[in-house]
Amino acid sequence: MIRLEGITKTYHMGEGYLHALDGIDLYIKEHEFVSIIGPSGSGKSTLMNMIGCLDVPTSGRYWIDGVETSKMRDNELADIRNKKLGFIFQQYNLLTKLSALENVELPLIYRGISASKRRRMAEEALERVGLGDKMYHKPTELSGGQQQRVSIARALSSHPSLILADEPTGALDSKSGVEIMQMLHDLHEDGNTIIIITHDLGIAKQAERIVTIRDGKITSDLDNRNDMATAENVNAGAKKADLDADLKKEGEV
Amino acid sequence: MGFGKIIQSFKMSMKSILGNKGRSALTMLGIVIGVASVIILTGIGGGATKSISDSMSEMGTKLITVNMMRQRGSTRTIELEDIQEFEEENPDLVSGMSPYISSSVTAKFGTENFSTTIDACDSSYSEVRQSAAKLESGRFIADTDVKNRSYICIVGSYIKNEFYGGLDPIGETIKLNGRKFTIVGVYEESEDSTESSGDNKVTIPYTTAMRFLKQSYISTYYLNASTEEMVEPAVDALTAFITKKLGTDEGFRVSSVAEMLETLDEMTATMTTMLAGIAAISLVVGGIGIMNIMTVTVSERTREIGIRKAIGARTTDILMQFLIESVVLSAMGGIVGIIFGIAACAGAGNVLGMETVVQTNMVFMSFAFSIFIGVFFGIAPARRAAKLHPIEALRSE
Ligand SMILES: Nc1ncnc2c1ncn2[C@@H]1O[C@H](COP(=O)(O)OP(=O)(O)OP(=O)(O)O)[C@@H](O)[C@H]1O
Ligand SMILES: [Mg+2]
Repeated sequence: MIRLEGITKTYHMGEGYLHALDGIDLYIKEHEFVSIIGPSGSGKSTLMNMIGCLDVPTSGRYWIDGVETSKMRDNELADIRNKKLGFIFQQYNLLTKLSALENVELPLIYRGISASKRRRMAEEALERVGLGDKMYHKPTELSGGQQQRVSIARALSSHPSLILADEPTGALDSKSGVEIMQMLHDLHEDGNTIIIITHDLGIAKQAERIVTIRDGKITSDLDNRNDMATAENVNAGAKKADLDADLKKEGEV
Repeated sequence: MGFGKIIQSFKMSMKSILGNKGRSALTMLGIVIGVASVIILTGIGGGATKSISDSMSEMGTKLITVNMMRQRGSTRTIELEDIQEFEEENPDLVSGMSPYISSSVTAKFGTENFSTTIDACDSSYSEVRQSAAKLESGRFIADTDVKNRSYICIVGSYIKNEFYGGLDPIGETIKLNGRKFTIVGVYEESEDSTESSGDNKVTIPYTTAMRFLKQSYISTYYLNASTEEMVEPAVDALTAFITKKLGTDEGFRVSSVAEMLETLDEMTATMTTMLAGIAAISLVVGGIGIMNIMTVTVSERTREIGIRKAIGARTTDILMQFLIESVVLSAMGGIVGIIFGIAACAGAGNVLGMETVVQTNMVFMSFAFSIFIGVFFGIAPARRAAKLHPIEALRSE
């Protein structure tokens, strides 16, 4: 599905360099549900942008569905994002002037799908996230949870191979957060591949696999399938103490 | 870039334009003023040209005028017989000719003196000059009048109304410079029958005028071309004819109304181009306004651009979206400008009594130009938007 090999991202900072990503190797199979956790500034979002083809690595190679993207041009990357990826952002990133339906239709417009067909697809996606009755509402007329559901519908509408969620519950109250997570679980059940970035261990635990990242490096990669119940199991890997410390620092455990 | 995407971009730009009505209106203002002023200025110019050319056409489009300048020391002069010779030799080119003398004289009726204009010509004048006023009653100059140098005259409606109380004055006499003339005809009113109008005139035989005004030389001849197509060849032939007789091509002028109309058309074209050029400057200024606003719009909507890119908009999609927005702005400005311009032309016509003729080609040209302005000045901001990096755009607030 996706494969990263020796991915680095380096920023020039005055005199020195900042390695936001420092040699990431990662392989994610189809239908996996992976969470990426790590302290603030560890490079999670940078990694997600890389996986999401929003940014190009300084070095390293990246394949998605067997196609190498590292050397692609802007328009080719745009097509990959449009056809293979669905994004869910912490800040929803909906267009405020458009209705829910129009927002969900947007990726389909860029894909060049005919008006009647894309409308049907968008309606389907909105019904799937339980917003069949709010299709003509503007984002400002919806609650945070509902807005995030619109953005999930947008990510879904074009049937992507991979759904990327960067702190999808970060801006939501716990009840809405639970709803959104349930929705992602449902999507996973339906066969979607999902990568979720989070600070919240409780949320990370719900994934099949937990990848921890620190200072731009992967410090642990745990299989969480057999035992999804306790934090102890999540931390059963090599870097247990580090992880605990990180999570405490974030104040979210 | 499919058709569906263009429709979508169009809808989006309408949303953004209508979502910010005040700003959009101000942005369009430059284009509105530019287009409206092109239409108004060329409309006024067109109106002026039309009234000049109308009054020139009234003189008759087949009319050819020969003017002889008095030449000191020239050995040979052109006489009536020469022009008659030309007329006889070229029946295919010209039909009808009249010598013409014009002078200002003092007319006396009873004890009242007033100043009037005499036209002196021969019997065919009324055919040669199609614009000559029609007779209301009586007759025109006859060949015998010319031959006999009769003291007869045809008077304008001013004289009839003023001195004969509006009654038919035929058979009455009038004194011109002390000589008694018998009135044989009356012209129809051609203007408003006032002293300063063209209705204050007297027409007499040219032979009479030559004796009476002590003129031995006729300096003006009117000829009638057989058809409008023959005007140009007739002018050329006549010029050659006179040049041959005089042995020089100086000291005379052969002109035609058609030729003057042509010159007028050329002048009009030049003037129209100039006016349009001046107005085009305000269109360009309007375009700079659009570029300004589009630049602001792009920075305000950086995040939107980031979102669109994240979900798969290509560079061209973003470029087209903003380009279409600036073109829609300028096109709307163009349409409003056309409406204003045409309304102002109509208003100038009705309220100020000024004749205006809206130049249809200028309406289309200024509209096309305003669209061009939208593209030209919209391209830079649109390119800036299209080139934004998705991550940086998403980060902006
Ligand atoms: N455009 C940039 N220029 C310079 N440095 C950058 C840039 N983008 C990210 N960084 C740096 O790269 C590092 C990783 O950033 P990143 O956003 O990936 O962290 P994160 O793990 O997502 O943090 P958070 O949990 O707070 O969102 C940070 O130190 C950040 O300052
Ligand atoms: Mg982040």
